Amino acid sequence: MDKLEVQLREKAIELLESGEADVVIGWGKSWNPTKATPVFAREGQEASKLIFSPFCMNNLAVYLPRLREKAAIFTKPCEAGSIVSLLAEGKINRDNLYIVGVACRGIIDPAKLELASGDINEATEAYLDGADMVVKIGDEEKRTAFSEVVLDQCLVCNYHDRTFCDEMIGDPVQPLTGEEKSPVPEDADAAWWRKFWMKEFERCTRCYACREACPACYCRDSCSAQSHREKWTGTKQGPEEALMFHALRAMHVAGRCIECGACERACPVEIPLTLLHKQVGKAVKKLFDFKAGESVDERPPLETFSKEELERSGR
Amino acid sequence: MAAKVISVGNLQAWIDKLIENSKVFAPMASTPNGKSPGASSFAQITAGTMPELKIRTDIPPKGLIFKRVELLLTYEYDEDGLKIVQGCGKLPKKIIFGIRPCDARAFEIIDKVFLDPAAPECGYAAERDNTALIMLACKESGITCFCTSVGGSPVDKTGDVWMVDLGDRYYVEALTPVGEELVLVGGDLFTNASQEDEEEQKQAVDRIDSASTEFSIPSAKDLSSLFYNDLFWQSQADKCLSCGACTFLCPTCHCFDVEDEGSINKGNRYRTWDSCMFSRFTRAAGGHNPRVEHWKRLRQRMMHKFSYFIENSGVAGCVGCGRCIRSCPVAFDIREFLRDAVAIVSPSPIDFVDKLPNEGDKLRSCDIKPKEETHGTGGELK
Repeated sequence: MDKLEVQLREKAIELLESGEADVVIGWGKSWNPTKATPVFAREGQEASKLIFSPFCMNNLAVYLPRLREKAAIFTKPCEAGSIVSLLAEGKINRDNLYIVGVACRGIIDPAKLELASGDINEATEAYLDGADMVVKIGDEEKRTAFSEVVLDQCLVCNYHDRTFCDEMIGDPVQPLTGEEKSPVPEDADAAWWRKFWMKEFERCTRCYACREACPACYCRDSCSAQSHREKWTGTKQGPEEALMFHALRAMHVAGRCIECGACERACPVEIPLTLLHKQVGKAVKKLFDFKAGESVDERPPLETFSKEELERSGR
Repeated sequence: MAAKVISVGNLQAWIDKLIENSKVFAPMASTPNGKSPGASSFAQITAGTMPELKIRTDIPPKGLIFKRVELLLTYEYDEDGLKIVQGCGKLPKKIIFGIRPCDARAFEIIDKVFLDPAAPECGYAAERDNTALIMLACKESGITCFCTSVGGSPVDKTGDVWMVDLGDRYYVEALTPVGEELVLVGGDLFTNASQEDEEEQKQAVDRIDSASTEFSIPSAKDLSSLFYNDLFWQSQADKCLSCGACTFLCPTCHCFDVEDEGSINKGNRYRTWDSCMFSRFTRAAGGHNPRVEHWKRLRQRMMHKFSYFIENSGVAGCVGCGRCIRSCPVAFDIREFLRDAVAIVSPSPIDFVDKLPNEGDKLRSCDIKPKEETHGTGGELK
């Protein structure tokens, strides 16, 4: 057990015993060495399940709007933006929330790891060895540079030792460097995107895992995509209907999405949804000069209206 | 029909002959998109395409027979009155090639609902009738496989043709008259299985059968005794996001909805997949919903699979393929749930028993009460 994990567990026990929190939300080990699983610790002994590793993929802020307890949450520095966004929208109560930022070296992108190492669901071991990620599948050991299998956002991370939190634990870390690779050509036009998404959404099962894993999608059971009264998406379930749902979701989280990629990692059929949300994020930045998750005092631009916006849009 | 053998080199020729008369679906990796590996599935193959038989597909073949959307009927109302036309008609022949024993057994489980003699559904029945299953026994089990714990086996014989991979050749046995016809199509591509082939086949089957791990699952009755243990279900469901990934990738989940699309005078009635993990699944007309809290939905899914379905149909509603484990965004492990359930109902003193909820206990995170005044992190703020 490394130093950071000892700190995590001690902090959790302290928060529970002092009554600062009824529940501490963090990450623990799962059945698979390449995936961590969310842990809800309510007693000191449950704190011993807590870990922190590059496999802690889940954005835990998703649980906050539904909590009915005083909570402490461990967060990766970048994903504190989701908490900021929920606070800005008045969806969670700051008084009942204690936020612990955990110094993060970078988080594994399961899609990249799978492309590099093979079927990670069959992995028996996975760990960081210096600057390499090592994955053991069957008798084979695959070694890949860590910077090649981390999430895109880890390569341009600005949050190594600071974030929105009550306290930060762990030593500051060296930023990673590497190149973001995108399958999107520079001159991608609407026709290119349409073709790309029609092919990808062919396999969308409409399980709504993307939505349920998204901290910004707090409408959950009231989502208009499942409304029987107003039918925004048809009964027939082809790629057109899937595109309608994902476009609807992308527009609804515009200006609230921090581009953490939880939706993409949740997708059981691995549809690269971040490409869609990054595209919308760019438009929001251009139109409103706004980035989600940066200020608790500013409401998302699509919830408000100002004359300047109208002028900026050139009308 | 005597058992046959086909060499790996002749397999493609047999598949191509099958394609002449039927649509053939077989395991295929997804085409690369430059960013993610995508998902493997049973895709329709054309002549000359060799299926990727080693793949245990991410997406089960369920949807090839139990359609995601099935047209049940069309209706039209005019001055002559109401005309209703049943949706199901004659369908082209279809073969699912290289289906694994768990996925094939899943169809037998779904049959219990949709081919119930009291009320068979004609759409499902037509698809089932027109689809032949050419099975491939598993050579090895995956890390998430647990078919032997829920009454299956990696070498089960449930389809029309049963194949065993012997390295340079396949051992092939027709299990039904339909299967015999499919083997006959291959003609000279097959030879009769020799004594040696038989022995190798038996060895291969024994090897995989003994390699499978098995654990005990709670009985239907024991599990139903857990129904009112709210704390058990709440702690199981703490991390559950209540999405439908497990349901839609499950080869046996078959809950459905019926929807009309069109106008009052003319339209279609469809049967569509639905998921018990969705809140709207149980929302009644008038707005009442007995399962608003997501832990009650998780309880429903588990109880249906391992208690109600066993009591109604004699088998578990789970074939142990492990797809729900692999696909869950929060790494919920159904095997762990089953072990926890066994531990809590077993007579040995397990500390869970001491943790039964008392009146006045604090509300748990999963106890969603959307419109109630709360003192927690979430909820509407004034």
